[in-house]
Order: sequence, then structure tokens, then C-alpha cells
Amino acid sequence: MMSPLPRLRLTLLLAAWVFAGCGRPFAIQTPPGLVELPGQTDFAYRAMTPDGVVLGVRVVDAGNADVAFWTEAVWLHMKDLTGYALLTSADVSSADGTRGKELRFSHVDHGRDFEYTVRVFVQGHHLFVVEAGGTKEDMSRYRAALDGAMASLRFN
Amino acid sequence: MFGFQQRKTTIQFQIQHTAPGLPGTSPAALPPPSLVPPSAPPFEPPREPATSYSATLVIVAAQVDVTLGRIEQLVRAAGGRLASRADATLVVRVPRARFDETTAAIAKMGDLVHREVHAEADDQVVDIELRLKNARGVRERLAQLLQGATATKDVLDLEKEIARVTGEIESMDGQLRAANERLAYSMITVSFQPLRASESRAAATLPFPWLADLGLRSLLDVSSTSLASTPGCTPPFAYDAQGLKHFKPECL
Repeated sequence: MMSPLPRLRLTLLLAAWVFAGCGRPFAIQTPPGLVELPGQTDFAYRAMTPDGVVLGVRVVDAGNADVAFWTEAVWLHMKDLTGYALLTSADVSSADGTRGKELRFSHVDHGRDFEYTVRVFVQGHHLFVVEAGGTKEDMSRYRAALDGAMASLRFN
Repeated sequence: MFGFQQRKTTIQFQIQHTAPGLPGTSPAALPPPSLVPPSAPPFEPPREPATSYSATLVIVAAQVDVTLGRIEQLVRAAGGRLASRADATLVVRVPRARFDETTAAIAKMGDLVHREVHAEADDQVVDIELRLKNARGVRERLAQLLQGATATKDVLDLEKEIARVTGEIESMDGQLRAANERLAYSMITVSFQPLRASESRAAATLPFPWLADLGLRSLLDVSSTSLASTPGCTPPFAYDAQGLKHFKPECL
């Protein structure tokens, strides 16, 4: 029989997992080094590092459009913004195998280099837009943690 | 005597060379010298000044270099020529008869945003022609006086004056040619404004607010959280003089 302490730890972990996904059609693991920000409005989920690297998830209505449509919509929008240059475009998958697309951009603001990553998934009528961004050096430092968090994404 | 006859031959040659329109110059054809001034020329009604045309066009085009090349081809086909070209501005001259059609054709090569056409009365040609006519009349009169001159000093003075007037006539001939050419060709100045990338997109964009919200500005603005409700916490970090980033303690 499990001792009280490990049982308590497991209960807390399960509760955290449940409450993390409570009310959301998805679940994501907040990676080490980031803290989830409460009271979000435009984002269904947002977490950030002390250095200012931010990870966010938006959930919007996908209509009847697919990943390719929304990927192009995102790319066209970013192309119009000043100072964003597309670095890479890649196929990605969520933890439950949902296929998506990732666009990675560089951005210069007031002489500083930034990186901005967008992942797009469509599940049912939901469009999930996962964003990560920060200065180039900070993004490099948290790259593994951010990729891990994005890979942990599951859709309900 | 020999020298005097020699000078008469010289004067006759000059008249033939510089004033081809004058009547025959053989000694028999020249009128006898006379102290009575020639009668006044017949009355001629004043001529209307000619009109010179010029146009200035400002065009928006997606490919300025390509359009500049097309305009040069159009102008050459119309019998015109390039006057100057610099960056996104072109100045061409086209025959006056082709001015209207050439201006209209250039205006269609892009989005016309500005057009000016000037028509100016140019009385310079009339002025030069009058002065030229007077100068030729003076030279003719001097030549007639030279025919009757006997004193060596008079002959020399008249020859000197004829040479001076001839020089003026040649100068005015050059001015008249230049003025006629200016009137015969009209000037068109074309300036280009490049088409911006945002203007080349379709007018309609997807009407989703979240799409317009994408980007670092919105992602990194955490002011919607309780953390950033503290003034000065958007963003919750700052850079020091060395460019190092520090998280603000009051934002924790």
C-alpha cells in the first residue's frame, strides 16, 4: 500500500493536471522555468519566464478551414508586419498525434533580435494557435523547454 | 586700282555666301549707289506668338524600371528623344504634334496621381525673326553703300561694319533654329512613386481580431494578468545601461 506522502504527491499532481486543463479543450504542461499566468483574456493559456520569454495558446473558431488555410493566413499576416522574417516552416504533431504546422520568425525591434514561433492545429471546430516568443538569446536558452511544452499539447 | 577691284570681288563673294536668298550679285544686277534711303518695306500684319507645351505627370507603378523603359520606347516611336533620366524621374521631348497622344499613353502606364499641362506663348521666335530681318536689311544697305564708297577709309569702315552685322545675323540664325526646335518639341516630365507592398495586396483581409493580434507585441504584453496590473510592469522586465535584462521586483 502506498505511503501517505507519495499518495498525497500523486493526488496533487493529478489535481494540477486536471485544473490546468479545466475549462480548456486542451492540456499543456508548463515547462520548468516558466510560470502560468492567471487571469488571461485573449489567451486560453499563457506562461512566462523571469527573463520575459512567453508561451501562449489561443483557441478560436476554425470554421470549416483546415491547417493549411490557417497557416497561410498566419503567414500572410506576419509577412505584412514590419520586421518579421520567416526562418523555417515545418510539420509538427501534438502529443495525441494531431498534425499541425510551425512557422518560426525572426524579428528586430529597436536593434534587438527576437524570435517568434507559431504552431497551428485544427481539432474539430477549434483552431489552436500556440505562440512562443522572446529575445533571440533567451529563446535559445529556453528552446528545449518550450519545444517540450509544445510537444505536450493534447486536445480534448 | 587693282586693289580696289579686288575688294569689290570680295564683297560680292560675301553676299553670295551668307545671304543665299538675296537677288543676283553680279555687278550688273546691283542697283546703282544712291543717297536716297530705300523706301519703307510693305506693311505686314503682326504674327501671333507660337505656343510651347509641357506636361508633368506623377505616376504610381509597381515596377518603375520596367515602366521607364516602356516610356522611352514609346517616345522614340513617336519621333521623340530622352532629355534626362535620374532615379525615378524621366524627362522626354516629343514632336509637338504627338504631345497629346504621348502624354495620354504615358498616363495609362500606371496610376496617375498628378497631371499638369502648360501652354505658354513663346514670342521669342517672332522677336528673333524681326531682328534678323532688320539685320539683313542693314547689311544690304551697307553693301549698297560700299558699292558707292571711294575713300579707302570709308571702304574699310563699311567692310568692318558689314562683317559685324554678318556675325550678328549668323548668331541670330542659330538662336532661331534653337527656338524653332524648342517649339517643335514638347517636354514631358514623368516622376514615379513606387507601389508599396501593402497596396499591392488584395483590399479584403480576413476579419478575425485574433489574427490581427498575432505577433510579439501582444504575446509579450502580459498586462492582462494580475502580475502586470502593477504600474510599470508592462513588460515586467527592463534593460540596464549594459543591455542586461532584469526582472522588476515590484512585478513579482
